[in-house]
Amino acid sequence: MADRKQTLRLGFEGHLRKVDVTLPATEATPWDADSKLEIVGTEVPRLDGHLKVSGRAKYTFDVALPGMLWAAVLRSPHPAARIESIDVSKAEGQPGVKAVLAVAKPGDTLRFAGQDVAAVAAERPEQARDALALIEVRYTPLPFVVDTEGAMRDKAPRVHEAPITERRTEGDEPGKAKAGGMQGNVRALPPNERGNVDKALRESDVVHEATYVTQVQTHSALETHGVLVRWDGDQSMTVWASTQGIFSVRDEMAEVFGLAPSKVRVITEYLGGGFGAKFGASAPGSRLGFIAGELSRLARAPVKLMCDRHEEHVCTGNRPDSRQAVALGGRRGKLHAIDVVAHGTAGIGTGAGVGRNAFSLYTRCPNARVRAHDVFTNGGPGTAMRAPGHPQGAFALELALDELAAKMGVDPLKLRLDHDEHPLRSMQLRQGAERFGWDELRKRSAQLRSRNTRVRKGVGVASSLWGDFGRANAAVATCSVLRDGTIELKNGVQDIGGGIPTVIAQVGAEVFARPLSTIRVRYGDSDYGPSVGSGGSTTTSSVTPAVRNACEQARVALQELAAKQLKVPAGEVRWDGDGTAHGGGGSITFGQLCKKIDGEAIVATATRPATYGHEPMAFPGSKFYQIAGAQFAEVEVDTWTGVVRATRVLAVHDCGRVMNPLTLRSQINGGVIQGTSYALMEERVLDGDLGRMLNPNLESYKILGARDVPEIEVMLTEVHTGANNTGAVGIGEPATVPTAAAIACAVYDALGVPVRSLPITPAKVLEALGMIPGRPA
Amino acid sequence: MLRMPRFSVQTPRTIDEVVQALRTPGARLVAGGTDLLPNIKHRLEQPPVLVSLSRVRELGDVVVDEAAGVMRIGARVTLTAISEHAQVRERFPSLARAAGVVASPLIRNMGTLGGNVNLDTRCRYVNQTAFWREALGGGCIKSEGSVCHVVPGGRNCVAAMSSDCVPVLISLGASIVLVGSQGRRELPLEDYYLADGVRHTTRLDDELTTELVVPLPRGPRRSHYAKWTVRGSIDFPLVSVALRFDLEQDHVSAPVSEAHVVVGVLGSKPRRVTRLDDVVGKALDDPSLATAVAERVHQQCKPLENVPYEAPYRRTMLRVHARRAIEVMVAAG
Ligand SMILES: Cc1cc2nc3c(=O)[nH]c(=O)nc-3n(C[C@H](O)[C@H](O)[C@H](O)COP(=O)(O)OP(=O)(O)OC[C@H]3O[C@@H](n4cnc5c(N)ncnc54)[C@H](O)[C@@H]3O)c2cc1C
Ligand code: SF4
Repeated sequence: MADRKQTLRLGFEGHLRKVDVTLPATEATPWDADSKLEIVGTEVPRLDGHLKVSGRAKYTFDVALPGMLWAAVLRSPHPAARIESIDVSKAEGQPGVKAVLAVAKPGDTLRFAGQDVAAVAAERPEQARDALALIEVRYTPLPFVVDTEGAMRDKAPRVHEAPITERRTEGDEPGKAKAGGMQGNVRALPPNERGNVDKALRESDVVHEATYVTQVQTHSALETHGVLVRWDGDQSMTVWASTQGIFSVRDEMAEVFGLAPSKVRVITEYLGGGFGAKFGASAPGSRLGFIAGELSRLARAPVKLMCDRHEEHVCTGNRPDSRQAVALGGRRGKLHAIDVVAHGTAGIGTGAGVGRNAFSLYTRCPNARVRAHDVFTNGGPGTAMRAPGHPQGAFALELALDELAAKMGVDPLKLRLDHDEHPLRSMQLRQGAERFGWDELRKRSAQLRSRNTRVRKGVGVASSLWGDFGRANAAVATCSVLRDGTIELKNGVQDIGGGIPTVIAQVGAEVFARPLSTIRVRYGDSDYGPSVGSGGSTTTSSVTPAVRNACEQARVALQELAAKQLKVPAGEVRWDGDGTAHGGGGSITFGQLCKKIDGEAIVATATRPATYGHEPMAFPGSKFYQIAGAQFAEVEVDTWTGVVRATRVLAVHDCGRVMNPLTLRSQINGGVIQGTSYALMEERVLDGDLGRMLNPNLESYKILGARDVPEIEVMLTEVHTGANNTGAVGIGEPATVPTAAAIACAVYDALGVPVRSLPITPAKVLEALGMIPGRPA
Repeated sequence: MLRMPRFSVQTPRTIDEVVQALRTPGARLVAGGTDLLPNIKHRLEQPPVLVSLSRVRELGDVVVDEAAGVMRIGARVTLTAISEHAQVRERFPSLARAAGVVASPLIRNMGTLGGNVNLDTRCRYVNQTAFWREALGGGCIKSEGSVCHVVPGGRNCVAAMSSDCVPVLISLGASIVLVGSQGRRELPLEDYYLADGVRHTTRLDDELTTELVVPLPRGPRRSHYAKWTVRGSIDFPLVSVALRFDLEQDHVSAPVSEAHVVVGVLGSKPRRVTRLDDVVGKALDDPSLATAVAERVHQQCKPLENVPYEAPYRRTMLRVHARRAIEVMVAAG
């Protein structure tokens, strides 16, 4: 069928305009600024909320099968070692032990403390752990290096002998090119340059140069990684997984065990978070899927393997650290050059880039260059974590910008507005500043500084950019209208915690004008049809348009049925607000109509096409919409103790159409909380001499608690992008990009001196104030 | 999730039965379990038998004995109960405060005073999984090994006494009552602790703490407890200072007649700050008093790298928090 043209009203408050888009013939007419929606866009509480708070929701951890065994993994105690021999025989006869597996072989090199060595499956988890102690492994320890700077030195031990290719997941930003060669432990990522930065820096009348450092953060999802594998015969299996990508688990298990993907069923009914580390059946640093599957095959019983918190910290991924040498050039009050040279470590893995911020945010700056490098160290592999690279990049860029602004004597907010081309973000910055009280608060900070008060206050602002990476043809949704009037919506998507099933139900309720109680959503199971991984903030934008298309198609069939019943042409049927069909002077209720369905149900299946709009602005170098956001932060700093408290964050975000303000605000709250925690507390500490993580628990790896959360205000700036038929774009990642940066800028405003290293601990604050001597680097 | 090894639990109903039960080799007392169970999960101990105090009625009361001039607090009284108890709040506000800032509400509902004064010492190298310690090259003196990672070359464990209530109770002159097969003994709480992180109290294996006896104030007094943690809740103290000033009259401009300052989270023993004599006689609101006390605290207390956050930072903070605590008392009038 031929494509069709459609005119939509797109844009945002005060900037709406008519835009022509080209749609595939089967595509539902997109909801735009003129659409009057009843259920989509309203505050519908999560449909499964009561199950979660009452403990009835069953997570992977809770699933128990008859005869199920528990697995435990023996992990490398050494940051680098060669395995000389491995003897599992003593573990074999232990009480309850049903299978033992040597995962590593003699001759293998282990490259981080926590790497897989061997595994046991036993009737009880304690028995599995105890049996691990009897596995005899002889290691030859090898030289290692765990700190980024140390690894960059000429004489540093080499972490990898051979060049490393990048491992990518659905959590990574799409479209990044392959990287260049390796020198020692350093591997250059593809550089970005526009204009001529070296020349521009020479031309600048003010140059600010400094190095900004960020720490390694771990994902620390509440539910740790884990899988439960049950073989159903020897050619098919069912896998319960704590995953944010059901289909990536399926594909990996199929590949590892040589099965047809259709023979692997994956179930994730409830998921306790992922943040980018839970794609595939393996964790980034541990072959969990293989181990559980193989033990299960050997033992001929279902095997469950759940990580403990220590394992979760060391081998399931992390946000790489960074040290970013930033040079900014200012010329006549304007930003003239941005230069960033970044080095970071994703441990033995790749992906320590610093995101798009420096290159793509302030696009009115004519000269920009970002050169990033992966530095290999003997640490657990990094992996995508909520907006990979962006919070790091935002921190360095935005704080440097404030320092430049101070040197040039311009207001940092103005400097941002002058160089940001996104019309919506500019509006967010302006409206946000007004609501936040930017001008008065900046004056207050200056006064407190000049009075040299013990307690200072400061405010900062930072921006977020992200893309609408909603995927075409990836999610296939099924809508069934049953004879009893129930509308069943099916898709194999997992709910990472964002509340997608609730939003799916809203779409169905909207299309059919039926109460939410009549909608049943089936999800979290590969049997319910293909779907996307929850990565790149794409779930709602990939799934809801497919659901809507399926619903609209089912409704067309229903309309034909109504026409038959009412004896009018289908085009003359009108639906009212409760789903009753009218025509030719007669009417038939939804319930009556459904009873007339031939067979069990009307069933329609649909997907969504590629994006067809990006009003008002595209993500750089693409035809995806560029998602805009800005956050303002206020901090209170005690100059005697150095303790920083984030007191208030105003988060101004767009996420296309607001599908459900409640779940949306939850995402933003979560993003701000995680960002605040990153700014002030979280830090993986590796001991340089031991090569091990010193705080692999949640007691000394500090995550912001409820009492440390700032007051969060959310301001939503809805935008009709024309990207897809529901208008949804993502928010999960954009919401955490600018938080730490804004807090760091606020600390700078409070103190008058910057703290250029995350997390901003009390000692670093006192050091910046010159109150205690700096520690040797 | 970390798993527990198997053990059996006994639930005696009287103190005598508890003492009897403690005779079982390897038996360990458990009250709220909020310290013991995490340590068992970390395999710091593997007791075959836990002797639970949950049914021992006699340990559950707070009694004001005006005649004897003391308050008796049973070992099984929860931290929540102490922090909310009207008499404790009125007579020993610093104790109510200390009990009320332990961990989190849920833990305070379970945690008892007896458990808090017998809280095991803590260290970043020991409160870890067994696997972690093993990878360290076989733990340390306090666990499976023979070296100390905090004081390389040290022969003693210096894990930190991390109880919030202990410094306060010592500052209030409390004594501890123990009952064992040898009978009952009462000693100043201050003398209960030893500078050895492996065994940091003088408790005998078959003894239990039955109560804490706190002398009632005989005159006007101001007291406070300063605690610094990274987070606003749930964290063990990193800076911990208990202060008590007895006054000649009931206002903050009155001269101080007695001063007691006790600091926790240094080594395995709480530290009483000495040479406070020159403070006696000064008005509490005299700024030179605050400075002098803060100085003494700073001079005499040397935090170690046994808990998170840099020791030099914590040492600097001892001075700041001691001084602020006095300012808080003065401001409260
Ligand atoms: C996350 C977390 C945070 C915490 N934060 C703090 C904090 O901020 N401040 C703080 O002080 N504590 C903290 N704790 C430790 C603990 O919760 C408290 O110290 C609590 O008071 C311990 O009491 P309990 O009854 O639970 O002790 P239990 O765990 O039952 O016992 C602790 C020890 O005392 C012994 N014991 C118990 N009762 C007696 C008795 N009557 N006689 C002799 N020995 C006895 C036990 O054998 C055991 O060795 C924290 C614990 C956790 C898990
Ligand atoms: S102080 Fe030393 S011996 Fe004691 S627990 Fe810590 S590392 Fe071990």
